[in-house]
Amino acid sequence: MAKSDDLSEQQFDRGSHFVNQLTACQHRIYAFILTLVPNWSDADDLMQETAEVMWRKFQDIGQINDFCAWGKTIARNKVMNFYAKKKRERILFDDSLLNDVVEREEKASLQAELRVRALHKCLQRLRSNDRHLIQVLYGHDITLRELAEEVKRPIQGLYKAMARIHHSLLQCVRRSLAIMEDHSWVPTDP
Amino acid sequence: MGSDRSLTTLSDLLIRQLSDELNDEDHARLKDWLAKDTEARQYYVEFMALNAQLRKQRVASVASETLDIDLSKDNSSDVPAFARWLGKTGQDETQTSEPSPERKDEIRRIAEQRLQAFLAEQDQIRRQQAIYQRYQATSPLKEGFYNLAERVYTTASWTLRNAVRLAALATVVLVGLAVIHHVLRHRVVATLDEVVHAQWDQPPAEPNLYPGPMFLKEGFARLTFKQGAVVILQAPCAFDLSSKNKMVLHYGTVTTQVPVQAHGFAIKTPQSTVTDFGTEFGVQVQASAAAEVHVFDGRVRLETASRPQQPSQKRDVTQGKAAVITKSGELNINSLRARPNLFVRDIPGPNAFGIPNKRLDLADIVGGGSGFGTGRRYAGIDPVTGLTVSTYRSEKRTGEKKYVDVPSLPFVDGVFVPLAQGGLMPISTAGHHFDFPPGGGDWYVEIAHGGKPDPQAFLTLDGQTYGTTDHPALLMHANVGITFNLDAIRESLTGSRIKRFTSVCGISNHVQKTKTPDAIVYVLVDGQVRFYRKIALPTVLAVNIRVDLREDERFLTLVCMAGTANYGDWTFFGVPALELEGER
Repeated sequence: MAKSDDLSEQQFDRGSHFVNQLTACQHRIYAFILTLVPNWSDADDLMQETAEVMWRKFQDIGQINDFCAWGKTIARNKVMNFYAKKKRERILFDDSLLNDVVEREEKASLQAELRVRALHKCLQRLRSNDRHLIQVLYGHDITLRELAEEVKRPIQGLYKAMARIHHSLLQCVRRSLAIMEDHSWVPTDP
Repeated sequence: MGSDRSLTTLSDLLIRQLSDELNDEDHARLKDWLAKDTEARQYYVEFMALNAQLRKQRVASVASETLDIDLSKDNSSDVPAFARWLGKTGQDETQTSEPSPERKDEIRRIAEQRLQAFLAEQDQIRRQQAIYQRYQATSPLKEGFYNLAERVYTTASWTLRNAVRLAALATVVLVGLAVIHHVLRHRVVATLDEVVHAQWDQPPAEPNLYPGPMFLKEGFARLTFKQGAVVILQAPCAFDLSSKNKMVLHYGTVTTQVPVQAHGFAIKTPQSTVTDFGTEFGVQVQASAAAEVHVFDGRVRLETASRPQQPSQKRDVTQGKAAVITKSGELNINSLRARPNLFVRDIPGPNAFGIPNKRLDLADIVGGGSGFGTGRRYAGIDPVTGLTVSTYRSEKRTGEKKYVDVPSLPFVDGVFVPLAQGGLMPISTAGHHFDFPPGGGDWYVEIAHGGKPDPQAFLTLDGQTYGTTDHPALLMHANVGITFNLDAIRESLTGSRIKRFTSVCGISNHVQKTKTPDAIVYVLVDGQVRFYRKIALPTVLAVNIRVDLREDERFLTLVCMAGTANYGDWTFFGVPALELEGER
């Protein structure tokens, strides 16, 4: 009985450790998946599969140095399998562009904390109707079509509105990042 | 690619792609666009990063379901504030988000109540209209005469009967007005959030601020108005708090961020009123009443005060534009790029060298700033062309025999390279000249807001590192000269007086370990020498400079020339300051 109690406690600690690390990394892994598979439904499925594999493998591995990078590696394999299944139909990037996009995504993810702060400010600056639309779309498990029915707007008009709001948010985040970052050019050596 | 319209089109395609609503033709179009346009790919990556952040709550739910463990704990070091904001809107983080039937019923109930109230109000209006129409149906003239007589009688008898009541009512109204006036004068209109090196004429006793005049004598302060506008004040600043969404700026410099709920926030100046329509702008009013308005984000409406023979003008100033109002009330709108960075966008830290109404940082001015931390480190000025550079570099270059102005930096009168053979050379646009000794000609490094990421290797004197926030450096590797326009600086100081120039100068210690440089330093005021030193090694490491300045003196010139040879002459001015004093 004592032995099984010890195992339970170890498993509990291991589980908590996994939970903490995945909580810290999940948005970066999801951002990576979404960049390579720009479709909410597919990206959600891939995130689910990635989390499953991570949990299974985590129980066998002793120590992981960089949890986020490890998770992204697993996610990348899932994405490649997904591409193979889709037989390149409706895939946005061929092999030559894929590496470029992955590199850009990696650079963007290094600024993740700054982007979160910037996004928080920029959301507050939206007009109240625009913020309401964002809140409903992302705060509820709802598609844009369903959202169009709920707010009683034509779907085409809602796409345009969402495009405008997202573009406005992104421009605001870009401007905020430019202000927040230290202008640390590195001069050439004299 | 890059136009706002095409980026919005790209955003539209991406939203549809994410929603799986993109048809084959548009999918092919998007694929081709991303393949050919690197900027579009960068936009795409940032768009997806943004989207992933917005969907973070959903991601937590997905992972939770899969693993049958709770990933949605509010770990305060991880969950960003906006996710908590989303949570505050009623979204339970531990459940998959879906509008519940109870919630829908509640919304329906509230909507029905409001509809009933509206219909009841409409019914009452219809009844009143019907009574009025019946009243109007009899013979108009007779009716009018009769009504007039009746009204006079009714009013007279009513007044008589109610004289006492009226007197009491008047008293109540007067007392009520007095109470309201007292309350309005003592209502909180803003709170004081943060101060840096702040000194006040009358220091606020508490963070809550009430309507009335205030004067910030030195430093910075940040206020938040009750309706949400955030204002950073830069001394010297004389202003009135009017209401929860309005202030009067008599003179001084303010930067304002206005969230949605505070749109309409207004700043009244001697010559204009600036009303915000979102979301970030700066206003500077000089002692002469000339003013500038810089719009960083969104749009403001600027209305100038009407004057004799000059009617009021109303103009919208949009993002990226600067409005300049002269002393005489003329209004011009320019690009922001054509103006110096007058406004801090965030309140500086306590170790920032430039302190409003105490000392101005000349290195910051060379970096394109106001002297109070808005410039860019490593930015510099080419001494031959007068053009600014974002990063200085070291390379042997030859000078040309002229003094050039620096159009993009109005606080800098001009720059130059002293002649190789020496001789008389102009050193200001007002015609001042100076007779330089031979030894100029070659130059290596732009005049710069100096510094380097590795402080151990660069710009040190007597063990002190320069080129940092609290110890800035004006880098002037021989042979270069710069003249500052003191009148232009005074104009921007909104009332501060320039007392003196102070600095240390020397050749950076790191060079002295490997080379044997020597250099000559001049400080000239309106063409007259006020400081001269030949810096010879190894004993002389740092030299203190203190030059008093009068109100009528207009040009401050700093020159660094090579000594025996231009070899490793990394001369610089450390903590180069104009010491200030304003109204006290």
